[in-house]
Amino acid sequence: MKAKLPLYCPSCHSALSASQLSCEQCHTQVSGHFPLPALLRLTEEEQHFVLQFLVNSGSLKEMASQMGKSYPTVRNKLDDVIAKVKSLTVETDE
Amino acid sequence: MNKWIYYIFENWNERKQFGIGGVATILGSTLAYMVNMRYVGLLNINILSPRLPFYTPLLDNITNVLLLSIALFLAGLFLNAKTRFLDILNVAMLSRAVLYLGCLLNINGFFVSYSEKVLEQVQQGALEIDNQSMIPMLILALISLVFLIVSLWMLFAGFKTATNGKGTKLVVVFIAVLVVISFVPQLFARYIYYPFNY
Repeated sequence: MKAKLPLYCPSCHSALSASQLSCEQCHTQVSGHFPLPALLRLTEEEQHFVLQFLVNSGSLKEMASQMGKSYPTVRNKLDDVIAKVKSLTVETDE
Repeated sequence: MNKWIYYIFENWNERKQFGIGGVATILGSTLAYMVNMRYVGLLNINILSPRLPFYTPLLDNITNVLLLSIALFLAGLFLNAKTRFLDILNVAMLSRAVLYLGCLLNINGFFVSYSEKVLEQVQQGALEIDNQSMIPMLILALISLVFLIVSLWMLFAGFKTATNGKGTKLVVVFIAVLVVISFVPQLFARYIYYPFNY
């Protein structure tokens, strides 16, 4: 089973960051404080949506037809994801 | 019911919405002509005694749909600059389709005959209206009210989906638009297409 990347602290619900990275080849470990990029802090569904947007060359009409949704529904979802990415980017910059 | 209403606007593509909305507008207008009714105003149906040309209810409906669409589109642009006219037009046509069902209440002059009975009793100064006339009238009025509520509900759900509006701002803008334009179609119907008096 593919492990799901936890985004928020189960105890206080603050955003989590990576504190250790390791090389699968030579097992070298790097420790530090690495905030997660905004795209990784989106939910799985939102990440899937962004990927679909890229795959469809940004055509919302194409996406709507593939997803079986109306155009405004897909556009609204995109607007909500954009707003979330903006707020996450501001958070990360702070 | 709420889920079903949102399903239409969130899942039906624009062609399907436009096709069904357009067909409903034509069928609703034909039905109104057959039962001698008109759609004077955005939210009401009027019963007429003189026979009008067949295109009159269609002109009423086209006016209502276009005025509603233009007003909601301008309000939609205020809420979200990405609002499209086609989405709003589809919302206006589909939400009004429910109102057209109100015409079914006057098949064979059913509605008119009961309302005339009640009016007669009122004009004769009756203190109490007999139940045989009053109960059917109340039931018909209640059914009309249900159609109106569902139509407004659909209009709001569609407007919300088309504009991605949220919170109090959406509700205030929606109500303001309805209040402002509710009297305009009546002016068209009364003075431009086919002047008449009640």
